[in-house]
Amino acid sequence: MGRLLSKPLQGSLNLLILKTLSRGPLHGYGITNNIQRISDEVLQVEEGSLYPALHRMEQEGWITSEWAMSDTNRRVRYYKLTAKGKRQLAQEERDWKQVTEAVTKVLNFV
Amino acid sequence: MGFLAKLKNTLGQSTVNRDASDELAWHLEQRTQEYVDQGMSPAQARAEAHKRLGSLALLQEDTTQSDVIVWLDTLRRDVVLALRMLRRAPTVTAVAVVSLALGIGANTVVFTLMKQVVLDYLPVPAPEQLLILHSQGLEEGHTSSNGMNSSFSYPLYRDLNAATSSVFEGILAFRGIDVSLTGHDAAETVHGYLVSGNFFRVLHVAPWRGRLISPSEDQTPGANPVAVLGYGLWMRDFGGDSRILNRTVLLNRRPYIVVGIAPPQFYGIDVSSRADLFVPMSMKEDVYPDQHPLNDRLDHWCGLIARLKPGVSPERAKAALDVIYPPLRDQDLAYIKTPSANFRAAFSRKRIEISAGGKGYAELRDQLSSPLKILMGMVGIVLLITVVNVANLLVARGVARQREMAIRLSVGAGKFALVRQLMIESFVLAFLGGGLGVAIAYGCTPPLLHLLNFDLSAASISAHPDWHVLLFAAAVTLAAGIGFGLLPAWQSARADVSTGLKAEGNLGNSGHSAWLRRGLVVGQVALSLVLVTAAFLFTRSLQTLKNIDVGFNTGQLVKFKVNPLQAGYSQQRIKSFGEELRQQLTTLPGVEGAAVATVPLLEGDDEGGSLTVEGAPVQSFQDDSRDNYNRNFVSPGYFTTMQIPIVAGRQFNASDVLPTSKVAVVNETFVKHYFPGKNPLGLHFGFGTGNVTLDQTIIGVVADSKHTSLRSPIMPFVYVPYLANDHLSELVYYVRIRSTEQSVMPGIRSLVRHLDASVPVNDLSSLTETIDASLFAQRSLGFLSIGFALLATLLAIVGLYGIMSYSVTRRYRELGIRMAVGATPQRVLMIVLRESALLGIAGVLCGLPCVFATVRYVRSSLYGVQPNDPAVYFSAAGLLIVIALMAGLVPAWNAAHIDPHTALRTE
Repeated sequence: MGRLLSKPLQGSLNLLILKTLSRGPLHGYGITNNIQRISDEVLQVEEGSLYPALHRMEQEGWITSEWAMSDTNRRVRYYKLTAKGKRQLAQEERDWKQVTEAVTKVLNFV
Repeated sequence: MGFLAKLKNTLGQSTVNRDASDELAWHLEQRTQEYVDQGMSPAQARAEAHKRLGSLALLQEDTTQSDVIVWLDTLRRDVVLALRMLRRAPTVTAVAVVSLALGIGANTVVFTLMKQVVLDYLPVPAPEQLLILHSQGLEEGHTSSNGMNSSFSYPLYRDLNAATSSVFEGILAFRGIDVSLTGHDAAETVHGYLVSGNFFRVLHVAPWRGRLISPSEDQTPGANPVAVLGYGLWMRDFGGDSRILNRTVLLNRRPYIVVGIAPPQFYGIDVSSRADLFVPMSMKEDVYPDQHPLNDRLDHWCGLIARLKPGVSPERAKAALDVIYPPLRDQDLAYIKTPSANFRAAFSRKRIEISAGGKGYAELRDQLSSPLKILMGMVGIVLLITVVNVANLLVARGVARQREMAIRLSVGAGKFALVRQLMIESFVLAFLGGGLGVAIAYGCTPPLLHLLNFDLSAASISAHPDWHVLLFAAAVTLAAGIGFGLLPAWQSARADVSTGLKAEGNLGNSGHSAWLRRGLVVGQVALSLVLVTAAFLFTRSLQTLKNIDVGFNTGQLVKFKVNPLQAGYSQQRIKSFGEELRQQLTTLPGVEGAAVATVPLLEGDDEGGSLTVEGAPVQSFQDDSRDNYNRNFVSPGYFTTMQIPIVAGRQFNASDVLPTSKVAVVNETFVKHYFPGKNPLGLHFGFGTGNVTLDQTIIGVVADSKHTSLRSPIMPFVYVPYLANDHLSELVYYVRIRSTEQSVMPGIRSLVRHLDASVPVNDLSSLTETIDASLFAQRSLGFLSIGFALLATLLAIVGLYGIMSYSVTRRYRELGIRMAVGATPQRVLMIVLRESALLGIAGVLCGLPCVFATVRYVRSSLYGVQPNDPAVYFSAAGLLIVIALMAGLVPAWNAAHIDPHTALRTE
């Protein structure tokens, strides 16, 4: 199976990150791995976009971050969903479903 | 993101960066580990991890970038681009920057002085609560000017202070004094104040070291020889050594105990004359010797400043004074011997007026505030002209850049981006000019003040701009940038892609901007007319003042001052010293004669009061006049030395020394006013009113001459022999010379030193210098207005020349055709010159209403010239039209030498 870079799905990167974080706090590296694993390696987050995206989302107030110690005793930054982020996630999920349903309808019609 | 968050992000950049790189480093490590686990070599794994994450540095920048950074970075790029564009047109840029620098520099210089002389408040807490009290109306007895043009007797001050505690926190009294101070070194003359005990308390000034003068020290005359030193004097003379506290210094050779030091920023009440010493008023007779004891109700000599109680309005204070003062006034009346009914009536109209005292009192402010306001207006106009000039240059350049703009628009730049770029170019230009201007102001103010003969050494005024002034300069720069940037930006925003691209070279669709530029040039000429007219008015005024007949010969006259009293001399010894010095001066080579006076001439000083004359009741000399006469004590030979003509009788001689022979010489105005139609010789009068002995006999009449200043009116004047005065302190010598001042002055100094080395020679200068110094304000206005007018005219020439050359280039083909069909070069020359002259005339016509509108503001600063003098307007207007013609000459010459063949082939 080929790998899809999330670049074309730029708009969906926020959604993927928010959804991933809705399961609990996670660091950036974990977010990419999670998305990759759950999507059966189909979706591979472009790491160059991940951190800027996290930064923007933090500025928007959807997520917060804090530093914690890893098992190997390293400083690791964990990201966590905020209430505002949860609302944003719900909104983006609705939008995504609408769009995909619409696209599916068109595809089925022809 | 909120502004604060942006700012925090920008300021906290380094923390953010460190966090980000920590985070990314950890990410890379994890990823590398993962690849190694999958079987890659560590190096390969690291490379792959890096590749997947992208450039670490780039990423880092991206992650931490905030809006401010983006904004600053774009700005930096725009500024770099702007600088490149400005460098591409070096002449335009240089002309613009230099003219802006001159405009902004001139504004900064004038504002530096304006701020300190006119705008700044006293460096004391809550200065707005301070009020100056003025005694209005007739005075009886002895009045001496304290610079505030209004003075009170000490007993009246005490009464007022006690009676007004409902509205004032207190009233302070002060009087400027010059005393000789002997610390551990030689004696020097120091300016200071005699102050009431509550002086520092009313001003809310706290001691820097030790303590300040207290009310209890201002009770018994002569009982408290204490002094507070100014910070400047303390540093200068005592090296800031606190051991001087409670030690003794000599003031006028009498011992005083230094009890404290005033704080550094406190300069007294007058910013133009720093006070270095404070002595309680109870010590008046020591340091301010005149014939009047401290408690004399008829000696008016103190300046009063009151501090309002919190919450009390000046109006309420005035109302309170209107109730409190009349009984005190009537009490004063009781001390006046047998006043006439007229006098009683006039005296009962006396009142106390108040004025804002937060800025203290400054003679310099009185003298300079209207000239400074005028100068501020003039530099404002200069700046406006500069702005118009730069706008003109930029509009011209905008035409040349039409193609560039059109290309930018066609490749997708928004109009807003173009306008933004042009505005940024303007601001870059403005700040280059502003920076240079401030540098000019910083470097040029001291030499300029020196050139104008303005001595700052005695004043608390700095010639250097402070941060308020820099803020002002920055604001002016910003305003200028907006001013000259908007027009070209607006013009470029109108640019049309298709025509802009089609137009080859720089002669495209520019009819509109040509008119715009003509309008700007006309505006420049109009504004220049205002400045040229002002320069004409002020120089003529200065000339008139300089040519005023003062009534004595000011050429080849040298003056100096000595104060033997400060050296501890008795009255008798002062007189013998005075006469010996006078006689020895005449033996110096190059000296024709020497005379002594006690009041210096043309330096703003006067001494006078009321008098009674034989035969008739005295009418006030003038309604608004405080004095009925002015007086000077002079030596034998005074009139000969000054070359004041003797009209009748004789002058003083050596036998007029006995106190029993009370003789006086009066001027013609005195005779006209007090003895009209009579022969005054042998008639009598007496100083003071009421029951006075008419013991002064008139022995001579001299021609009128100016005394207090060039501009003050001639008063009835009385001369009395100085040898008959037992209250001498400072003596002013006038020396008539045959040779040059430089050759005589060293001789004078060594002569005085030879007579007594402890009597210093002060103010040795020629009368011409004295007059120049007294005309400081007028001279500044005269010289600076010429300077500004020249600058304005020069900028107008630049503008006119620019538009005319441009016009000729634009009409190249047309003029070529004209010449091809038979127009002579002279005809073409005239066509161009006519256009130039028309611009000049249009400018003058637009300028005249501006001149009429502004000229009334300068009326009070003019002397001997009418602001509506048609000759002034004609010369100013004529000058500008001639200048317009001259500016058009070179372009016209070029036009007349167009080769029709070339011109016709040009597209």
